[in-house]
Amino acid sequence: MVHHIRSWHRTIGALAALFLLILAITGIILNHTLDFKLDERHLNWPWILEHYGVSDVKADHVYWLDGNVLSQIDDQLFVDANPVAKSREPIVGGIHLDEMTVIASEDALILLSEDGEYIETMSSGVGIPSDIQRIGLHNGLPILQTRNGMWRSDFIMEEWKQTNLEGVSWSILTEMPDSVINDLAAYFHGKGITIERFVLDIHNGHILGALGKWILDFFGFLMVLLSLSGLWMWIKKS
Amino acid sequence: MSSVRLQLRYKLLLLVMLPMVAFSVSARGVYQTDEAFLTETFDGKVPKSSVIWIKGDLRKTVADILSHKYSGMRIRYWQQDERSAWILNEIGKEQPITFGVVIDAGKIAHVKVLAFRESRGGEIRYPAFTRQFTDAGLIGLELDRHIDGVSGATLSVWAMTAVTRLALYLDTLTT
Repeated sequence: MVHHIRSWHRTIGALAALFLLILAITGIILNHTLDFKLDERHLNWPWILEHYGVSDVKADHVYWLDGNVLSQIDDQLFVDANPVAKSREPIVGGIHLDEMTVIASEDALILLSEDGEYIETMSSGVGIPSDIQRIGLHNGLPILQTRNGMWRSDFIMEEWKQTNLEGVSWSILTEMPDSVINDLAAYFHGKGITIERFVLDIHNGHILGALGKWILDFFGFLMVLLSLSGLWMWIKKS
Repeated sequence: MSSVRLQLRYKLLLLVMLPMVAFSVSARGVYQTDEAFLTETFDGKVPKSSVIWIKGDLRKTVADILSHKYSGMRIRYWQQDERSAWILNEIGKEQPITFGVVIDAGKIAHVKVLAFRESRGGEIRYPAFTRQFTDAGLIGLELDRHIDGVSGATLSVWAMTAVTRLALYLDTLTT
C-alpha cells in the first residue's frame, strides 16, 4: 500500500513541480513590485497587447483630410491621433476651409480652428442642410451633397443655396495609416501592460483566461493530494 | 410557498418594474429640433444668428458658471429686439443634454429640453419643473430664485440651472 502511494506521490510531485516553480518565482517577483517599480514599467510587445486585446484600434470612419487623417471611433473624432471633438452621428468627411477644418456629420458641421481646437457645431438651427452624404470643395468654397440635392455656401456657412456643380473635390474615405493606428493605440491603451499586471496574471492563472482558473484548481487539487500522501507515508514510516 | 402564489408574486413584481423600465427608455430622445425651436420662438421669422467668442475673461466667467471649462470657442444665439434664443449643451451625468433657452428683456421666458440622452433625470423636461425658471433673472452670476430639485434628477437639474445662468449672463453681453 505504502509502495503504491509512494509511486503516486512521486508522479504527482513531478507534475506539481512546474506549477510550484512558476508560483514561487512569480511570487518572489511580485513581492518586490515596489523595489523594481514593476507597476511603472510597461511591456508593449505586440503579442502581449494582442493577448490582452488592446492592440486593435478600429475606426468606424476614416477620411483623408489634405495631409491629415480624420477618423471617428464611437463618438470621438480624431485628426491623426489627436482627439478634437465629439459627434454622435457618423461623419461623412472633412475639408480645410480658410483657416478652419470643417467636419461633416449626417446632420451638422463641426468646426475646428487651425490648431485643431473645437469651435462649435452648426446644425439645422443655423440653416445647415440635413441628411448630409458628403462634403467637398469647389473653387475653395464648401459644397454639401445631401439626400435632397447639392448645396453650396461661403466661408461663413450660414446660408446654403441649392446648386448642381461638376468637378467638386469630395472628401474621400481612406485606409488608416499604420503610424496613426499605433498613435491611437497609445492614446487608448497607454504605454502597454505593466510588468506587475503581467506577472500577477501568470501567478494567478488569469493569463490563460477562464481556462487558467481551472488549471490552477487542478494543480491546487494535486497539491492537496501531495500533502496528504506525504503525511500518510510519514506516519506509516514512523 | 405554492407555485401559484410564487408566479403571482413574480407577475406583480414585473408589473411594478415595467413602467420603470419604460420610463427610462422613453426619457431619451429628441423632443424638438433646433430649427423647430427657433421657428416657434420667433413665430416663424427666425433672425440671422450671431456668435459670442468665448475668450479671455469671458472664458473664465463661463467656466465659473458651468463649474468646468467650456469646450467650444464660440456660442451662437439668435436675437430679435429684446428676445434672444440660445441652444446650449450641458452634460447631466454622462451625456450632453440640449437645452433651448429663450430670454425676454433680461428674464427667462422659457427653457426647454430639446434633446435628452441620459438614462435618468428626464423629469426636468416637464413644464411642471421648467416653469420654475420663468421670469428668473440674475443676481451676480446666480439665479434670483431657488430652484426646487427633482429626486433622482439632481445632475440634470444642475445642468439646466447652469445653462439658464449662462444664457442670462451672455444675454447681458448682447445688449
